[in-house]
Amino acid sequence: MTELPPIPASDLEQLSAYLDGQLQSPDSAELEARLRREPQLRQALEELQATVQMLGGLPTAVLPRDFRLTEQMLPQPSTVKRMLGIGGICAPRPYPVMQLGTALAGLALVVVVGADLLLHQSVAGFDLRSESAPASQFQPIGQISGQAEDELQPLLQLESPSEQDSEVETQSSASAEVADRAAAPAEEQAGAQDGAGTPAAEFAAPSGETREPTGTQSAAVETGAELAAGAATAEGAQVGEELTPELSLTQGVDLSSNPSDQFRSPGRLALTVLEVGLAAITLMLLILSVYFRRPI
Amino acid sequence: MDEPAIIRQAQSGDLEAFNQLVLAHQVLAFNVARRIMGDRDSAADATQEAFLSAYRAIRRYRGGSFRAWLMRIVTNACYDELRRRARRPASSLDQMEEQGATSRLHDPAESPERAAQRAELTRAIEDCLNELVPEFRAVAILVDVQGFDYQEAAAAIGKPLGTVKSRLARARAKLRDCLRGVRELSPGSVRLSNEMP
Repeated sequence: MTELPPIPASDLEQLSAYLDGQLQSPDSAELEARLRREPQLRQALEELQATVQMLGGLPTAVLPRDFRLTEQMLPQPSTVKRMLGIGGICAPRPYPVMQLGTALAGLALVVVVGADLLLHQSVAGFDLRSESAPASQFQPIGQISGQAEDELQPLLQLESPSEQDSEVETQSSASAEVADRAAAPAEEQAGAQDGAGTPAAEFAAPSGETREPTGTQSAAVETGAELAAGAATAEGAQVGEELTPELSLTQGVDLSSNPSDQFRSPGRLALTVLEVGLAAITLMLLILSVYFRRPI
Repeated sequence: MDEPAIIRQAQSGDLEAFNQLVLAHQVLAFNVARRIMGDRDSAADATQEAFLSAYRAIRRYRGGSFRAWLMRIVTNACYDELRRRARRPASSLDQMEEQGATSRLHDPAESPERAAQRAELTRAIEDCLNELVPEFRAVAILVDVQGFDYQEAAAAIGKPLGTVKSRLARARAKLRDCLRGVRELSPGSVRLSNEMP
């Protein structure tokens, strides 16, 4: 048999399909016409036909053994599958369930992380706006605390032991003035004088509640009109009651810390915990998906 | 044999019913595996693994040609084994044993010379088959050796009909080139028998 020039792949495919009767009638008729005209195409068809006959004549292999399955050959459900109540031929397929769970957990993780990032960016931007516009109505808590710190500076100064004595002296002298002025008029004027009391007097009273009055203040109370002093003390106590919550609020917040840090608790903390939890769930489901995957 | 009824029983977990299907198709399964793998031991392992996989997966069978569905599992098992073999090449001793097994075929009724010629022709065809890439080889085996039609072959390899046509044409063309010398050398009186070890 002589060597033939290579025939195009399209002709080979047509010849192959023609051999199996898979060529449609118009194409089949056209190919038959070409086979009559082209000897090399005819020779290629004959060779293909001989090849197919040789393949079809290959002997059938004898079975080396019986391939029937026994109970011992069947895969036993693993410990994990038994714990999950799956496995065996009639069990529901866990792989699609795990796939779906992994996808949902991953989606939830993306959403939470995205929300966290957006929140973080908005907080950062908010801090910048607060610095440029301190009088904004929507100041963050830290900024408000800072403002309260300025307003409550006299109270905070009392917290400093070094300045406490001189401040208390000033306040005590002011209280003495109030007491003196209140003592001069009649008793009923004392209330009016109390209303016009200086802030120092108002701030002095609460400090007097928490600390023992020092020398000058005690002398003023003793030497001045007791009624006026008592009124001043009562007024001071009232103001002190009003200011005490602010004072405790101010004391409860670390004013020296970064204001943005205060947004981490408790919302940011919860978000972080949620992110870690979702990441762990996603990873666990992914591992289970790979575990339950079957080759077919 | 009412195959659809047996398949339904097997789908409900009846091992005996599934084994009836094994009995009906194990010769075909092993022969396809034998041609794809090229040696009996690997073919036997792939066939057994394929039947185990089929038992696990039979609930997912949704009708159509059962043997095509089964052959898809067999070809996939063979591909897996060939990939493993590519990572761990077989020793030359295995190949020698396989060649020895092929040469042992004989028919008591024929002369030793004719048996030798037939064995040589069979080995030559198998060598040419083994030169094909596994995807082409599987189509040639299913259609030309096992007599599947194009539809069944497409279902068995999980590819469209056009892919079967083109792969088959290219496989046949390569086999034609490979077997040209074999046809010229082999005597016309030598015909392949219907059985081999």
